[in-house]
Amino acid sequence: MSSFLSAHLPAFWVVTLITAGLNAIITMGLYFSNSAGALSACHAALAGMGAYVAAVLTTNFDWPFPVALLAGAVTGFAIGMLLALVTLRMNELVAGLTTLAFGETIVIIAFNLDYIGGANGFIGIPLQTTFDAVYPLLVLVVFAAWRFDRSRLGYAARACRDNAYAAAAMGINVPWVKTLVFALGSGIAGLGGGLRAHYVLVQNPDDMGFFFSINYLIFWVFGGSYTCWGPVFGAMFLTILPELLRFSLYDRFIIYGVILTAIVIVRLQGVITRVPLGRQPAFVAWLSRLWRRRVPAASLGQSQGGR
Amino acid sequence: MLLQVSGLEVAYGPVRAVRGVDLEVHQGEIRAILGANGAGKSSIIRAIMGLVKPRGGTVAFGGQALHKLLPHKVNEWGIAWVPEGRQVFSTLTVQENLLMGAFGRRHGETMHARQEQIMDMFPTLRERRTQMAGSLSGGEQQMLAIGRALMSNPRLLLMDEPSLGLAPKVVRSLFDLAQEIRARGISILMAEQNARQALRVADFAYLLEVGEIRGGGSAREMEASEKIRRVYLGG
Amino acid sequence: MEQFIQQLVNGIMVGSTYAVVALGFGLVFSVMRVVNLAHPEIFMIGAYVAFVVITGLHVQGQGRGVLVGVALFLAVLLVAMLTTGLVGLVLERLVIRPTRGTYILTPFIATAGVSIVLQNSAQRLFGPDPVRVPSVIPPHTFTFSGVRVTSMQLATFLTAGVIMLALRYYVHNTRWGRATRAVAEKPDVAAACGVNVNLVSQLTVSIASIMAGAAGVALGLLYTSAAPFMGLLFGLKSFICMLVAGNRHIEAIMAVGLLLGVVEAIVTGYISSNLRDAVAFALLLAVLFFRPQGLFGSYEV
Repeated sequence: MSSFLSAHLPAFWVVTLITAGLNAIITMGLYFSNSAGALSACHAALAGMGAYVAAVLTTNFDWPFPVALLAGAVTGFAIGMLLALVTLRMNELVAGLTTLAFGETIVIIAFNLDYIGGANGFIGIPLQTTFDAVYPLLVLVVFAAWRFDRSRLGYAARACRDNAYAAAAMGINVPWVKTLVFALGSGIAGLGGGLRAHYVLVQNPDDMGFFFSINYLIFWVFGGSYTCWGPVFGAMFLTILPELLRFSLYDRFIIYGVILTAIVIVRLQGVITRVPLGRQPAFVAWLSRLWRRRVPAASLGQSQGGR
Repeated sequence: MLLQVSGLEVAYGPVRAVRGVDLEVHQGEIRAILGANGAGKSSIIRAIMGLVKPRGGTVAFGGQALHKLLPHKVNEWGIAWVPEGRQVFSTLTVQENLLMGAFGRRHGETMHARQEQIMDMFPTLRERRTQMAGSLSGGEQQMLAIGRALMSNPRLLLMDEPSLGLAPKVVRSLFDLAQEIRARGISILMAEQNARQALRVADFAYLLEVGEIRGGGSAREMEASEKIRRVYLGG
Repeated sequence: MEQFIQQLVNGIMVGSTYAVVALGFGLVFSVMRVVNLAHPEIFMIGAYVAFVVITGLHVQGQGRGVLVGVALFLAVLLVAMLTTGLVGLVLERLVIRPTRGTYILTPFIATAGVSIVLQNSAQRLFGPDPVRVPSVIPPHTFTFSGVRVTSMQLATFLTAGVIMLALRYYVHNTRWGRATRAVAEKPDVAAACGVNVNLVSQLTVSIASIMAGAAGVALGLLYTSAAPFMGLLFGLKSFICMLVAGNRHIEAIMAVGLLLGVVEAIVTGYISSNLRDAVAFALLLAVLFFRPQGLFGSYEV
């Protein structure tokens, strides 16, 4: 696939598509992390940690790429779990801010760790990530998210997000759900980070900072934080958009900023809005009608609301 | 007629809280909206005050259409609000709370005189004038909330569940206070769950159930009604 | 010991600007529950306005008398404050008002978009590298029992101090300040008391922006430079000051801003300048761990 693309698209577009795919994967991590109501403001740092781990393993220890990636994901998972446990008792805003502080602290620690390159970053990472690696993984992650939405854990997470007390009253183990979900999302971030490191070939402490975490948050909210497609759309749209606006170096970001602001104002719920899960979107229903020649089950009634 | 509400519709998303409500308040009256929790009483009050935009219907006050106005404008026209659960400004002092009440209709000197008047009405407030409003007891906060509303010299006072969370003795004196306010020429529209006390002082009452007016009549009529007795007055 | 006091003083000078910007954040957040991510960029605009005015009018150079220098400084301040106040007004009307009251991230992202626009506009207009902002105040170093304070430091501190005192007076002793506090606590009730909440919203953002602009001028002249991204780190630290202090008391934010400046100065002087930027985050982590509602308490969010 990669060779097919490289043959038919200008290299510039291949790069953009791969970057968009990488961003999409990492943003999907955010979809999981935030599904129980948390607000992860250190997502870039989690991705970065997975990246460093994977990179060190392949570069310094010659581990096979997939295993190193897995190690990166596990790192993200573990740290995410730890972070979730620490912020369990805090209210949402303070927890979010703690993640912010955590992310920045990680950046500073990375700056000062010479083993991983310190301020100059970790270099010499082998190029392992290709289009063929990114997009299938992205599809996998989105599929996992889609299944998650319909799973007990997914429902539990959304219940925790909407009303933690009610969720607890219904027997949901809120702390466990929040922690697990956050850890899962952080693991995905670690995975995405590892992939990215093996594409960009350099991992800097800077890339883990607040600015990048905010970027991921923006992708997530912009695309629509309630459906599994939302973050993918957000990440890809907002990654590709600046490339489309390639007239001048600064003008394009100015236009990007204007578009971002305008769309957020006009469509407060994000571009892809929440589709209540009790009711299948019309075209999916139509599709299944075609497929199975059966009328889909009656909807559970409209329920809207939410943010 | 002082206040006229016609065909009021208030909805929150797909939930219709108020369905085609008609009510009126005449000069010098106390009118009560009775109903259980969640019947929509607060929504009516909030819609009149301009805090929630009605989906349909009109609100007219002394001939002036109010339903499109922002709350501060509604206040300017002479309606004041005593919110559900007191809602005093807890980080402001008692005195500052009273001054806030007159924010929209300040007349310089008159404001000061007004403040004195209110504090005459509520001596406890005078005692505590420099205290933080958050440190007052429930009953005192209610006094403050009412005093604050009266500061703007309103023609109509909207009271949302004034007896909520108050001790029975305090509740009694609260409704006595309502009569006093009426005696001063200020009309009152109150939403209340405590039907007994409300009917004691009201001139006229409406019965609200699931967003619709299911009945209305003078206080005597309502007290005598079989249904009211059974459901709201304990037989 | 002398060195310690010197560091203390240096720290207070910078800390006062942290405090001013943090107050701007805090004001907008507590009154409107909005995190204005463009606030640091407004700070940056202030610095650039100073640059434009001073170099444009060719009034740089420090050979003048003190009075003229101070007058020029005040003039530059005034122009910058007017400019940023205006920017704040536009920002409020176009971006903040439509998005406030909704999900907390929506105005956050909308203002993030604005900050991207502002940063890149600055880059486009002035280039990505820092520009030199010449000082207008004649350089003079005062020495108080061994402690050196430059005239620009003094100007910075005095500016910040006056602004903070003015803000405090406004919030506690004026009618609109009272209304602002009321809106911060219960906007519905305030509206029913006759307060035009939209107006208060505009006023608040304008005041915060004016303050940020003034801080920008002060800092720009203090470090004689303005850069498109100067708002980022400074803004983040100020934001942290706001978080650490809680938003119950204005004085708390002021105190924490000064504290941060002082601790940074001490860490730089005695430990290592590399760790200077870590101080803020360490402080945040430490405080939030023990007192999640901030050092001095905050409203329910």
